[in-house]
Amino acid sequence: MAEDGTQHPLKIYWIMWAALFILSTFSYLTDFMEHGAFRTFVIVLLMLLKASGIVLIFMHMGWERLALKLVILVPPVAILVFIGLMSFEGHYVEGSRLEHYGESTMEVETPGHH
Amino acid sequence: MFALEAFGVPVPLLLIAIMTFILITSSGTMALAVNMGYRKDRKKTFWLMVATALLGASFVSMQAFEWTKLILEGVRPWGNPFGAAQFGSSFFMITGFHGMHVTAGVIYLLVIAFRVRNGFYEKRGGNYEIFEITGLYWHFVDLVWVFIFALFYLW
Repeated sequence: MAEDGTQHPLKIYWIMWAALFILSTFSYLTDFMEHGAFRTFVIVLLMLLKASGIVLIFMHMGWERLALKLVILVPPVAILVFIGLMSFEGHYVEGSRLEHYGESTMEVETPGHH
Repeated sequence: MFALEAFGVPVPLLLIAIMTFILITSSGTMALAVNMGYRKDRKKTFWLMVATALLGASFVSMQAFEWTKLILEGVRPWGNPFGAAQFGSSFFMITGFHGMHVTAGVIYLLVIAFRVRNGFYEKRGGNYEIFEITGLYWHFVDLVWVFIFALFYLW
């Protein structure tokens, strides 16, 4: 809840709204870019910018105290780090299997119907 | 990743882009509704919430259209002719849960909007915090779509 009173000026919502439209247009345009690491980076960057805008302005987190911001934002980041670690571990196991058994365990036999 | 490129053909993504813009627009009208709620402008709050609900309903309709198209093309929760079967499962589960929340949000918004119009919250001492809660719900649904749009459709 907004602690600093009852109403924020409307202007900031119009700006945020316009920013979301512009960022989404750029997001859509990434579809016409060459596929690769740079395109992935742009997609993630635009995604995070839009998400931050929604959370900070529309969901009013920008007006909250730091403690609450941290309580909400740190756990998801911790989960992402955990996912990253598991992915790293998974690739390591895959790599050592390839090295010692010479075959991949990640290949899909027949995609589709079962 | 290879599976997702199947959806990179222009026409489906055009529909997805329209859905994205509709949801952003609805988030904007919701933000204004919350602001008008704090100003105790019941009439504007009511109409802005109804507008948000209508935009949400059109989003779900387009999603139903998109799902129909994908199912006709052979994508299933247990299989996907364009690539990994897991794509079908996670796609339908995640967009399905999102669509379900949009649907629930539309009903929720309409309930709150009509209560505002009928002066329900005045009778209860004029506590207008309900807008903030409804707004948080709706913006979160929009937030999830930002991630779905980037990670499922664009990736």
